[in-house]
Amino acid sequence: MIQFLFDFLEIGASTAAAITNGERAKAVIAEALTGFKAVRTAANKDFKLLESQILFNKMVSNRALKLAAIYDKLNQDVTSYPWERARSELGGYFIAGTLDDALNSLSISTGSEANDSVKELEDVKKRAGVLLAPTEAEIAASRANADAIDALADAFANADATVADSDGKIAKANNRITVAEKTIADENAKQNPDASKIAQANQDKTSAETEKTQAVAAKDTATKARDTALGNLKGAYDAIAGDAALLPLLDQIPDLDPGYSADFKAHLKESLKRLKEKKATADDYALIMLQVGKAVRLNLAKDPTLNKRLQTILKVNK
Amino acid sequence: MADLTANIDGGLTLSQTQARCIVEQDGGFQLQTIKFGTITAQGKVLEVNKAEFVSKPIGRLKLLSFVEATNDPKKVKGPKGKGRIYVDM
Repeated sequence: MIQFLFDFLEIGASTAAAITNGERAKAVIAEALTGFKAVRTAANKDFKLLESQILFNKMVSNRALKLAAIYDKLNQDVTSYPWERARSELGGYFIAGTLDDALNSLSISTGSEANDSVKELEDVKKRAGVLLAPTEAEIAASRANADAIDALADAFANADATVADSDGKIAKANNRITVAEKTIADENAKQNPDASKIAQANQDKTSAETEKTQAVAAKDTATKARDTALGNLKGAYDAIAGDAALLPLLDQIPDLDPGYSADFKAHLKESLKRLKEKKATADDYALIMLQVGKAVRLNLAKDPTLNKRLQTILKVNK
Repeated sequence: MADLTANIDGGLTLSQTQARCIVEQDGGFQLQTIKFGTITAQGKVLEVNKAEFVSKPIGRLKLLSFVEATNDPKKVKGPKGKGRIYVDM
């Protein structure tokens, strides 16, 4: 970076000197250029000296370690510390003082320190509850389980929306029927009823009754679909609660994540209570089953069989 | 008020952060806001993206699309509605 900066300044100054008019300006730029070159030379010299000093220190340190090891064995007898071994260690002592060995050991020690620092930082992040990137396996398990549970919940929600829509249509049709009947009654009460108004009202009433019949039929179909969807949600939940390996996960749900708010924890506990009392809504079933999916994902590395069990249950109950 | 607050590693890439938020949403949540900040743990300052989620087990939008910040918001924002919402950053 420093070399690039010096290159940039020197090229800029020499170009400016070439294109600038006026002797005084050229002289100033030329002086500045000489200054940049002098600074570069000084910087290079200092950095090279620093590099040499680091390598020299490493050589001294490596040789000191080897020598200490040799001195430790000087009092041993010839059987445990024979001449062959001493000669080999003397060779090692010589190599420890070479430039190659200094570079090699520097590379090993700095690489190891970098790895240790990265690992330590990751451990701190994990202990602090900082979430790292999900693994491919986590993403796949999370997606598959959520999709299956969402399909059950969406079937309920769609049917429920159709029931609500049909109720709206029935209410609207009833209103039109009431208005038409009132119009007919009002006209018939008159001395000279308006036949065309009565005919129009009768037509409106018939049209509204047809719409009402259609809406009632749609509501009946949607109500059955909603009951089936709720039954499927209930069936899937009951299968989870009936699985010896998955059942303990239900109790862990309120404390599954340290990031849950106090209100949300209370909400989860209420949902679990309603499920046990068989008073649960579709929202309760979906919420708790999605939480089971999350618990399975969090346990994926520790126990991948939980994921297989949940996926089997969701396939059977889809 | 968020139901779930997740501190996501600030060193993750945009797509890794997006994947992490989608995985968190799979627990029955909808991402509400995500903001950059720092937390302190064991004497170390950690950069995090603080993501806040609300509970929505039924009818939530399931996918997320994170894009690089730009000076022209119109380039980022598509048409509203049709299953799209924008998340506060």
